[in-house]
This record gives sequence, C-alpha cells and structure tokens, in this order.
Amino acid sequence: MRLNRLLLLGFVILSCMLIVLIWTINMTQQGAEAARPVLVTAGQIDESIGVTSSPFRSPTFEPHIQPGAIPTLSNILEDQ
Amino acid sequence: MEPDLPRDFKARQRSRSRNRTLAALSLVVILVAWLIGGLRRQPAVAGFVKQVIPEAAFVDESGGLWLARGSSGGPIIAYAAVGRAPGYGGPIEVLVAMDPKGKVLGMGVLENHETPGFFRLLGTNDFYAQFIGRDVEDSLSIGEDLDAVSGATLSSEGVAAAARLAIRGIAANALQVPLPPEKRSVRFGFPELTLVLLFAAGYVGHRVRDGVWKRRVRWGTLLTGMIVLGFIYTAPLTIANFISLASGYWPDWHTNLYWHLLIGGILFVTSAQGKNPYCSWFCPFGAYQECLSAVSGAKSYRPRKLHDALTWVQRGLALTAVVLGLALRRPGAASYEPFPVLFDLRGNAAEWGLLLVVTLASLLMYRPFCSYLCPLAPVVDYIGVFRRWVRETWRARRRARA
Repeated sequence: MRLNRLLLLGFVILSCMLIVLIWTINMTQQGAEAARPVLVTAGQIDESIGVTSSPFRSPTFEPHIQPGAIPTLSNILEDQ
Repeated sequence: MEPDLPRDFKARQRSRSRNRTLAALSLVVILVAWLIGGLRRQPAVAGFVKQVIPEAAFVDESGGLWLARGSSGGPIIAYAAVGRAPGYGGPIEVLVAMDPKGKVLGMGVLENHETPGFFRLLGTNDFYAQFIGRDVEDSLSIGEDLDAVSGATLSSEGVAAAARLAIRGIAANALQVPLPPEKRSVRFGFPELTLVLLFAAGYVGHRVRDGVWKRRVRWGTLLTGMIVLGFIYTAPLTIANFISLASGYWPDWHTNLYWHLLIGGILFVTSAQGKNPYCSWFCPFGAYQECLSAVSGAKSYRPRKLHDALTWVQRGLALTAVVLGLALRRPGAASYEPFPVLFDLRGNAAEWGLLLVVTLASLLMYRPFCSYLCPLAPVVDYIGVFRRWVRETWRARRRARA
C-alpha cells in the first residue's frame, strides 16, 4: 500500500514538474514570436527560389535616398 | 453510529461552505486575470509595414490603410492593411502589402494566440509563401488555391481568412476593385455529425441503469471518440477551448461549427443534467488511458485522504492554466494536456515526457491523468457547483414565498 502511495505521489510530482516546464517553454516561445513576428516579403521568396519577380528589382526602379540620410565625409568632418 | 451523524453533517456543511468560499475566491482571481488580459496593448503596425515593404522610405496611414512611398511626396509604391480573423486559440492579425496593380508583395502575422509548437509549422512548411505574388481577385481559400498545413488546419484557415480581409480592405479603399461577397457556407461534416451522436449517446447513457449493454455502448462511444475525434481529426477538448470562450475568442461558426458544438454541448448537457457527458463517454484521451488499463488490468486507486489532497493540486493546475491563459491572452500556450502529442505525434520534449509518464501510470492505475491532472475536471466541477448553487437559491426562494 505504501509503495502504491509513493508511486501515486511520484506520478503527480513528476507530472507537475513537466507541466511547469511545458508552460515555461510555451510562454517563452510565444513571447519570442510576439516580439519578432513572422514577416515574408517578395524579396525573400525571390532569394529562396532564385527568381527576380519583385517590381522593386526591375531596372527602372530607383530607390530614393534622403539627402543627409547617409553621412558623407564632409558631414562627419563638420560635426567634429 | 447515530450520535456521529450530526457531527458528520456539520463536517459536510463546513466542507461545502469552504468549497464555496474557495470557488468565489478563484472566480475573483479569474476576473482579475481577465481584466489584466484586456489591458494588453496591440502591436504598433507602422513599424512592421516597412518590414513587409523593404523599399518603402515613407509610410502614411489613412483610414486603416498604410500608403508606402519610395520618396517624400512620390508616387505610392504599395498599400498595406491589417486583417483579423479567429484561429484555434484566438484572433490572428495579419498584415498584407500589395502593389498598385493588386499583387501581394509581402505579409506578416503580427499577433496570434495559437499553440506555439503548432503555429510554427506554418513558417516551416512555407505556408506564407503561397500568398506572395497572388492577385487581388484570387480566392485565397484553403482547399481552393491554398494548402493548409497538416496539424495546424485551424491556424492555416485563420491566417488565410485574416489575409483575405486585409486584401478586401485594400481592394475596396485603395485599388477600387469590386470583389464579390465572401462565401460563408456552414461546414457540417463527419466530425460534427459524430460529435452530435456522441453527445446524444452520453446524455442517454447517463440516464440508463448500469448493465452489460450500457458498458458495451460506452466502450463503443469511447473507441469512436478516440479514433474519430482523436486520431483522425485531432480535435479533443482542451482547457484552451474554455480560455478562448472566456476571452471572447469565438471562432466563426460557419467554418468552425465543431468548436461551438463541443463547447455548447458540454455547457448545455452539464448544466441541464448535472453530469458531464464528454469525459466518461467519449473523451479520446480518457479512452486511451482506459484501453491501457484494460490491457494491464489496472484498477482505480484512490486512497481517500491523499486523493482529497491531490484533488486540490489538480484544481490548482486548472486555475493556473486559466489565469495564465486569460492574463496573457494565450489560450494555446496555457494548455498543458498531452493530447496533440498522442494524436498528432507533435510536441516538445516536456510534452513527450508527460505523455510517457501518463502512459506508464495508466498501466498501473485507472485514468491517472483524468483523476489527478486534467484541468477539464475542475472546470466541469465548477459548473456543477454553480448549478447546485442556482438550484438551492431557487428552491429557498420558492420555500420562502410558500
């Protein structure tokens, strides 16, 4: 009878420890997913299949860079 | 024995009063957790728009629509919108970016409440890649032009529905493309029919006296539950279902009638009959444990004092799961039952460990998980306490009037 009780207690304690571990893993994983959501863009797909279908990759597309967005040597010297 | 009766009666009254106080206290704790969960802030969408449209230098918001430009005052190079639809554990929020010609450029899931291990399957199975390059007029429906990920069907459907809503928003407000109204046919198939029949069998079974036929029918319903609701459809009841219900995350009844039948059936039959038809008649995991016990010849083992003490451990686990799920609004992550590990063979090391421990224990005693760990039993007990309280209050009032 004592062995049965010990087995029962052991089962509940071990299970409770595993349940706490399950909660910890689940909450950590979901917290990480919330902080860094899954984002998929055409560029990523192009890279994975090796096709350039994105309209932004066409020869006519010119990315616009704001003046002052990238510091030039003269900007850096002026700041100093 | 006669003089002991009043003492027994008093002890029972004291125990009942203590249980009611604890039930009321746990209700307060659950309400506080629910309020805390409601105060959670939604993710800021603007920051993610530039990530799904990497070429966008400027992003403006106008009436729930994000307009991306390559330069200040330049032409619009893309539109983005957010759609929200129910998944398995709660709403899924999806951001979709489209070019002015109506092609999907990028997408992202900003918020989800699904079980992490299953939701990650969508990313690893390239589910999202199916949307890229699709046209505004494509149906984007599971089973038509999209494939669901096995084991995460409800999450796949939730993401697809949220993406469709976002695309409809862009089509109506930016592209001026008239789209036909979305088809919303009620899905009533084999799992729903099986569930209704099992509920009916459980309801009638509780009213029939014990006998050979009752035992045979019960084994039939248990095996049907295990095979159909467990191994074929992987749709057993979990605590996540009740947390979703309390969080207000109710899935669309057209596409997920099963969820409504399952929750509604349990609440209705338990409230009306005072007995839970699910656990004893067709719980797939209960059936699994009973099969193991039948093979090994294990009997029910319930030493009274220890069993009473361990019942509080079980209630504590259930309360913790509900509080975690409500406060963090993560029903899927709060669920700890090893059901999906057994029926879908997917889970993390701790979930596999729990399944192994329960499997071994089932060879030694009758339904160990149901007796000491399952969070659904205390939830059903709670409904029973509430039902008794309503009945007693009702009778006391009638007596007072008479």
